Amino acid sequence: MEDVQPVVVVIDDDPSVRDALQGLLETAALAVELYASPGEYLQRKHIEAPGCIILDVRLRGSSGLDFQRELVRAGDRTPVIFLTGHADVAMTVQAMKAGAVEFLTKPYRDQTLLEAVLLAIETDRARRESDEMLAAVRQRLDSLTPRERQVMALAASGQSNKQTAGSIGIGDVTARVHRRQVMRKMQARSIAELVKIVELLANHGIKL
Amino acid sequence: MSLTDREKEQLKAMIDAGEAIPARYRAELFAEPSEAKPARPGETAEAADVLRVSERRLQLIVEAAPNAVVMIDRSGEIVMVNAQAERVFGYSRAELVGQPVEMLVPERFRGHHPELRAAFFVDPRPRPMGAGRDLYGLKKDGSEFPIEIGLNPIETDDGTMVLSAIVDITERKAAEAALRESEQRFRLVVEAAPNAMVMSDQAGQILMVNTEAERLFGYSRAELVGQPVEMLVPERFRGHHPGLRAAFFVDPRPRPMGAGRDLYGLKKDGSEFPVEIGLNPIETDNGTMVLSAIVDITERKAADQALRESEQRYSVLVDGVTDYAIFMLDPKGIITNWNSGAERIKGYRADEIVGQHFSRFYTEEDRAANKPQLALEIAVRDGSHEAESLRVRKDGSRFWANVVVDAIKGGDGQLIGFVKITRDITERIQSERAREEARIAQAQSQQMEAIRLVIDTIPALVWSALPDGSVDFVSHRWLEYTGLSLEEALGSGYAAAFHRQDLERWLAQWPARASAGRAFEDEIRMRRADGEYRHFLTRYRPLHDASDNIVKWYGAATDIEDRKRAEALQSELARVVRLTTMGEVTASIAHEIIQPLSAVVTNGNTCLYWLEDQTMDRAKARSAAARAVRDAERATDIIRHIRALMTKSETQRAEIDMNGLVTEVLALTHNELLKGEVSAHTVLAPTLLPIFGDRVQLQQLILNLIMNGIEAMASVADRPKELTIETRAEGTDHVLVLVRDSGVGLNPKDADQLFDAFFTTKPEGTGMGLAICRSIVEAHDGRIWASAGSPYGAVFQFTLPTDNVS
Repeated sequence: MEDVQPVVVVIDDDPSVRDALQGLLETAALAVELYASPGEYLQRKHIEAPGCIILDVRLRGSSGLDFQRELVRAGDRTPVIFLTGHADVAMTVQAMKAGAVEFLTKPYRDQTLLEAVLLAIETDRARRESDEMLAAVRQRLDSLTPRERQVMALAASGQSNKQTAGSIGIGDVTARVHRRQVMRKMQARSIAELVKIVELLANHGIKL
Repeated sequence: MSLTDREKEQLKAMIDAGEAIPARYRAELFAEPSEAKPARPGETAEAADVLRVSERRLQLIVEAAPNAVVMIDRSGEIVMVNAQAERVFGYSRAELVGQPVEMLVPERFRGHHPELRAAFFVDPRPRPMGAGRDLYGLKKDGSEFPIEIGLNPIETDDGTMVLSAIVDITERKAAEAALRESEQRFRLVVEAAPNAMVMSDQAGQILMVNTEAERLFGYSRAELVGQPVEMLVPERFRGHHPGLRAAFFVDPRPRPMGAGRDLYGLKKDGSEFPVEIGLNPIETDNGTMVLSAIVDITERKAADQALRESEQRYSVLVDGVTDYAIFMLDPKGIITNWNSGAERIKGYRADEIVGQHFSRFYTEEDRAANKPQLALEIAVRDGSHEAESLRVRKDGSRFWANVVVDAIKGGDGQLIGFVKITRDITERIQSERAREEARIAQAQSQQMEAIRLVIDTIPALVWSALPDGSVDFVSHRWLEYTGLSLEEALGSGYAAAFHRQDLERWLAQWPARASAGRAFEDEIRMRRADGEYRHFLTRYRPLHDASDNIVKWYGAATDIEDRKRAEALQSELARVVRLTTMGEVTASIAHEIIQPLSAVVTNGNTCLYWLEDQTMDRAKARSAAARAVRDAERATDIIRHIRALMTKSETQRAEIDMNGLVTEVLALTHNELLKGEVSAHTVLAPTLLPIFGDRVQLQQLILNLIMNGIEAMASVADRPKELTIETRAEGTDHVLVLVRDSGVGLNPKDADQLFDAFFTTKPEGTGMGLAICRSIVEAHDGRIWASAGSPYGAVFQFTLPTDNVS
């Protein structure tokens, strides 16, 4: 996954600004995609790569805030860095609430923008990894039988095979067989790993 | 009684000659021959004497009878008549004798007569004829006349004869009829009388009653007549009655019965009723009777009783009345009678005052004015006189009295006296006066309260001041607003509520205003209890006396702070709108310019990065630098474009009088000037050539300069904030306008940049105001510049070419 080249999307109706930003971002060896409007961006082929969006709030046609809401609705969780000529507090608060990672006022310092971009890419990468892991774990979880799920939950809560057998009324041997199956299917090398997996699932509201 | 023969001869000759002779001689004359007749055998000597009357003697007797006598025989043939019969019937003796007696009987009775005659002879004895029937005789001339006939059988030699003695009763009948008629009339009169009438005789037997008596006593006529009159007298009086009755007949004359005693009648049902009885003696054939007229006086008695009771009650009432003095005066005003109320009210006892003149109840003044006499005169004239005035009691004390005097006149209109009714109305008068006073007081206090309410209701502070300006009244609101007490506010204490600056001005202006004596208005800041000063529009109005001297000043101060603030807010709003509009424009301009500028910066940084980077990617560095140049040029273009927009904006040019324009804009900025506490002055050129320009733009120009001046003086505190706008003719073809302020002034090093866009020395300035000014001036081919003021502030001035140049 770390091999995937991050992409920075720049959406600004001013070609000067787009060009200048591309030049700047290239100095940090970042791949840049330029769009004149949010519509252009939304129509592009979806790329599964960590990255961020640099967005001019005062776009002609639609405001940056409207676009941000549209992204959220579309399930695109790419972090957004706002650029604006005149920012007021209300607008800033609204944008940050909607998930903006940074809100920069023109004229901004180039270094500040670059730092914000790198931070956003890192955040996006981490989120994506977490999302992918969760997806994998869920897939594995789906391969468990109901009895195995029960056994996994009890094992993760620290119960021994014997205790587990007593709790659900099966034989000790049967309990041991189930646990082995759970460990294999969930690709957990230790009980500690199994506990982490169960926690991850619980954190995302998935019940066993 | 024996006659001589000679006398007898003479008498016979007289008879023969047809002359009448005295009756006694007749018997003598005719007696002798009858004595010779012998008595019949078997008859007693006495009977023989009667029966054996000689015919001659019979003749004589008959002739001597005073009545008409007709003798008939058994066959009804007239045997003998006397001279009386001749006279009565009108026949001569010769015409009668030998004729049937029926010739003397009226035709209608004649048929029955022979039968009756035969019946008589069956039992011949002396008796009256007709047995109660009316008998009539028939005269020769055919007329009838009432008769009475006595029949006597006479034995004669020729058998039994009837001697009828006939009496002409015409006169008696007539008398009887007259009497009957009179009695009838009497009965009718009695019957018709409206009163009960009872006639009784001396024995007390009731002879007659009328219908009214039947009704009154409840008896029928049949039950009364023939009974003793005492049956109509109550038992308890009955014993005396016969005596009284007898006494009446001793001296019978019309008079009332009872002589003042109460009389009562007794009815059949046993009840009694009061009566009045008048007695009248009536002379009748049967002697003196008494006719009693009886009047039922039950109702009159009751009325009398009622009257008596009423009089009694009246007397009790009058005497019992203690709230009123009721007394009577004789025609001269002398008191004749006195009730207990009079005693109570006036203090005199009856024995002290009766006989005195009533004028002593009047006050001396009223007596002097002859009021007592006048009261009586009015009462006589009008029947009554009523007055409310002061009266005097026995002890000399006075009281308010309601007095009514009524004149009392007799039936003949003669003044009998007066009734005076006096009532002590002191309490009423006092309470009326008290009520009236209370009412007036209440009305006054209500009025005062209403005035106070009105004063306190009007949203103004109200006060009044004496001509010298010292305050003598302040309203409740005034005190409430200022938080001062009344004592603190009066006199010159009000000054504590005035703003120091306003007070100085107020005091300085007062003498002139006071001597002008006219209403005036002023704006004064007054300190509220919490220390806040608020603007009041104060109206002062003098009150003049008759000689036009000012006696008082009335002031009312209306709080106009809120209004002023609202106005200020409005102007602030207008300013904000103006600024916002300007801000919008500016922001959009800024955005336009910032875009390329920020690109320039980014490209510059990128260029530097590549230059500093180890790779020294010159191509990339050049590329970035080229972009920077391109973007910078774009920024310049944008600014140029904006300026071009400004100058080329649609304008409507016209002739403009700069003096008028200045005055106009100054008026527009009135609120800003007040708010900024700036006093503005103009020094306008008396004559000024018009310029040809865009009115709106030029208004904006002057407005901006004025606002700039006001803002420059915002922080000034140690000197007056003054703004002066001056217009001058510059040469022959330009107008010069100067705007001076006493503000912070100019930093000489900024003077050149003042009119550049985005240049500002103010924390919140946009740096566009003066830039726009320059744009406008230059668009009008004018020039604008600024310099430091002397000794402080700044002077902005611009020139514009006059119309003739354009």
